[in-house]
Amino acid sequence: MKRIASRYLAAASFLAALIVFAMAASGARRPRYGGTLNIDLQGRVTSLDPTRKQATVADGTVQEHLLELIADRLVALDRFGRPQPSLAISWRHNDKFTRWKFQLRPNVRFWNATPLTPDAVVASLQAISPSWRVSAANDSVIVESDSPLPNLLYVLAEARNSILLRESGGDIVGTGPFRLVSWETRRHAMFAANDDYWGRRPFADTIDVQMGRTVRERMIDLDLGKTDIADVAPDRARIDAAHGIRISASDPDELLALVFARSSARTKDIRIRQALSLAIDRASLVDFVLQKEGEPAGALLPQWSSGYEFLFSTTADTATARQLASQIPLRPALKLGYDFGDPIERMIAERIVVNAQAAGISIFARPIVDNTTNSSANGAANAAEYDARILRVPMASPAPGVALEALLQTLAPLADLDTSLAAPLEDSTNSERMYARECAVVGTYEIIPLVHVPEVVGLSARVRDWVPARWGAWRLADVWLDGASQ
Amino acid sequence: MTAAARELARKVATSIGAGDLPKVWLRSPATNNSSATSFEFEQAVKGFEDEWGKNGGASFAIAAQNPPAVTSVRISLSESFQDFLWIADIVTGSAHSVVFVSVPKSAMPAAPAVSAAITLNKQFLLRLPDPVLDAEILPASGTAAQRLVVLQPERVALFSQINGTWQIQAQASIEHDRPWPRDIRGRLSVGQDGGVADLPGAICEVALAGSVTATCKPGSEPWTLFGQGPLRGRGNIVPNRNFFISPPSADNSQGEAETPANIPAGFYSFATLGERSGPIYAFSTLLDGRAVLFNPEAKKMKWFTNWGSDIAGMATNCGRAWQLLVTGDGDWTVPDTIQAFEFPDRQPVAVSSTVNFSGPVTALWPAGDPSTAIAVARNLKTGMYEAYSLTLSCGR
Repeated sequence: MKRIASRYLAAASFLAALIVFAMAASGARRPRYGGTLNIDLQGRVTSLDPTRKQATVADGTVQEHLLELIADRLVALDRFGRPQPSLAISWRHNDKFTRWKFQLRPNVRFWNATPLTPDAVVASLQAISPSWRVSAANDSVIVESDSPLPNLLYVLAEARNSILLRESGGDIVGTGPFRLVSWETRRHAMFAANDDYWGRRPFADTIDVQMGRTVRERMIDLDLGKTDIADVAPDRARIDAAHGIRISASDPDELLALVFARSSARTKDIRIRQALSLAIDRASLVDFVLQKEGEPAGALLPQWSSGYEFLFSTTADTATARQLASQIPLRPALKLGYDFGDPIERMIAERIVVNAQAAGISIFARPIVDNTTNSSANGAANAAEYDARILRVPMASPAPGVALEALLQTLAPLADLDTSLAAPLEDSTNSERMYARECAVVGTYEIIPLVHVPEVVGLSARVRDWVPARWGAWRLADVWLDGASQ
Repeated sequence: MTAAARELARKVATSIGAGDLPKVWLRSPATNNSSATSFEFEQAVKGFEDEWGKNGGASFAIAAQNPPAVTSVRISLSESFQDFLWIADIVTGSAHSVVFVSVPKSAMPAAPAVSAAITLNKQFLLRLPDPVLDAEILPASGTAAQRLVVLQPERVALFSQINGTWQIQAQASIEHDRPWPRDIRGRLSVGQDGGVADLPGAICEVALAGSVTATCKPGSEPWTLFGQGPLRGRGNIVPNRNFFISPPSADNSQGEAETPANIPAGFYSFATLGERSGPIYAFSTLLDGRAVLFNPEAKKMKWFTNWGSDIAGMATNCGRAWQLLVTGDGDWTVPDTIQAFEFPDRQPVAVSSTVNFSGPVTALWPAGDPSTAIAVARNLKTGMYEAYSLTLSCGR
């Protein structure tokens, strides 16, 4: 035994002399700490506070990604979508799911050293969801509602329910893996690792986010290694991959739908809406407009979330569409609006025009220029100027019940839907009921699902352990940089 | 899955009316739109057919020979985010209805073991939701049965075997003031009565007499990377990080730690191998992804690439008596492998086939018994941490 011991010593002694050599970047499995993760994004965020709605879907998505950095929620979803303890370490509910009690994690502090208290959580949640009755009790928080909240864990895991301390000057402070160290509205944000993060310090030291970057700027930065993560338009994913850029796509988590304006008299006849739905060649939208990065949508929720979307037809039927359209004696020309700044919406609108004309429906695509806020953009669908418009709606949650209710809440005020169709689901965990609701909504043809689109990003070669959730959450605390100096 | 398919048959029968079932056209084939295996699916479909037949319905085969009926039923297995869904699509003329039965998703089975040249054996120990940093199998002693000690970020736990599976018997919390680093590592050096658990910036005295206790205090003592007693090789971990800094050290024959000269770079793991009457090799995996071999007799170095961060030396009666276990490269997004190597002429020669894991290997440590190593992998499908005991056996 002693002989072996001396061998160890000899080997170790020699080892001492050897590790003095230049480092070369190559793959090591265990994560490395350190470095700055550079991110280029198209969206421009005016505030990280989720109570401040952003102008476009892209801006809202950026806000959610940045919120992930600075704040936690009571509940987190793991990579498989299972609710896990986060700022709440346990929970229980009554039989009717109308009262939930969450016990808070002890010894958590916001970055400004303020302890996380039940009162702070109550204030944060009430700012976002005033319809809940939220109260503090010892080390716990109680959420109550008149209607059952069977999916509350998934709702609390949404970015908008991040727990934030709102300071008097309007600043927000979180408990998350990173802290905000510099902020230029709509332009730039810098985050530094929170060394005392209760959920374990992230690997990267800093994250540098450039907002409002054009497609060209983002691709050049990726090519030159000036950025590590950049969002990519789905229709460019294949081109960029062919140029050697690492591409990562979520499951399709955004619905593009055609929504008829509540005020449009020209589309009151269901036959014109049904004919248009039948005329649209969704497969071509995916193949040619999205360059195969997406799926034809027959329902509001994608197949991976609901499991029943395949029961809805997405096949174009021009002959039936033409027959239906011919039954309408006076067919006025329709106006179809799309977001002026969104090339994908424009291309989809142009294809719809072609499909509609093949079915004998006259429709003109027109850009919506005034698109400064969500509300005004959505409101444009109601303006007399447009009979219908294309809308992008991201999925709020991977849980189908939560996602469907959120989609209906967004779309119902715009379309001429019966209020019963937009009401909360009786049981938002029951697939049969969700299917029935979707059948009813899609059957009105007030909302025509077009395609489901994934979130696509380009990655530099040094980004490691990039494991986004299938519904798009980035999980940047787990990402590390190959070659970072520790 | 089969029970749910049977339930679907009953629900469809109720929906249509049992009296009409013989006239229903069961459309073939049933379709699998889910991630369930074809075996699971086919078994379940047989269950559906059986239940369907009990209710008076005709099987797929009989239905296929008969002309289409007024009512048709198409069966599908699909998958939502949360559940598997059995779906029956019922069409009667222009009327259309759909019946669902959902089954919560369950964990997928673990990957199978593989055979090898010198055979690297992988024995499953246990599966836990939180990271397993290290484990040690304590052999049966006197009246005490075999036990398994497991180190996790927040506890030391003692397991014993009941009906072939490790069941928890006792545990002790690990108290720590500061949050652990994200890629936390830990090392157990315990015998029958207890020992030490090393964690980043903390050291815990572990007692295993009767129950389990863990008395922890802040500390930056060198960790025991391999061996016990006078055979220890040691290194200092960087608090809040996942690597060691210089110097790795080995105790001399008097059990006194001797440390080599300053080493500027950090390392993830360190192992030494001897051979029968042959040279000694020291290996270390460095932060830049390379591994290094130093042969003291030749006083030369050799670099290796395409190794993972974790290695462990094994002493066996096979081949050249010492083998090095090496994880695969890549990052933690892909399943991992471990393979045994020997080093004739300082060249790595694989002496076992690769053993596959269901996810990245997050820990690989030599056990107290030098012919055994402990590996922990995070299953990419379930997210669970799976601990294995690795041994080498001679021959195929």
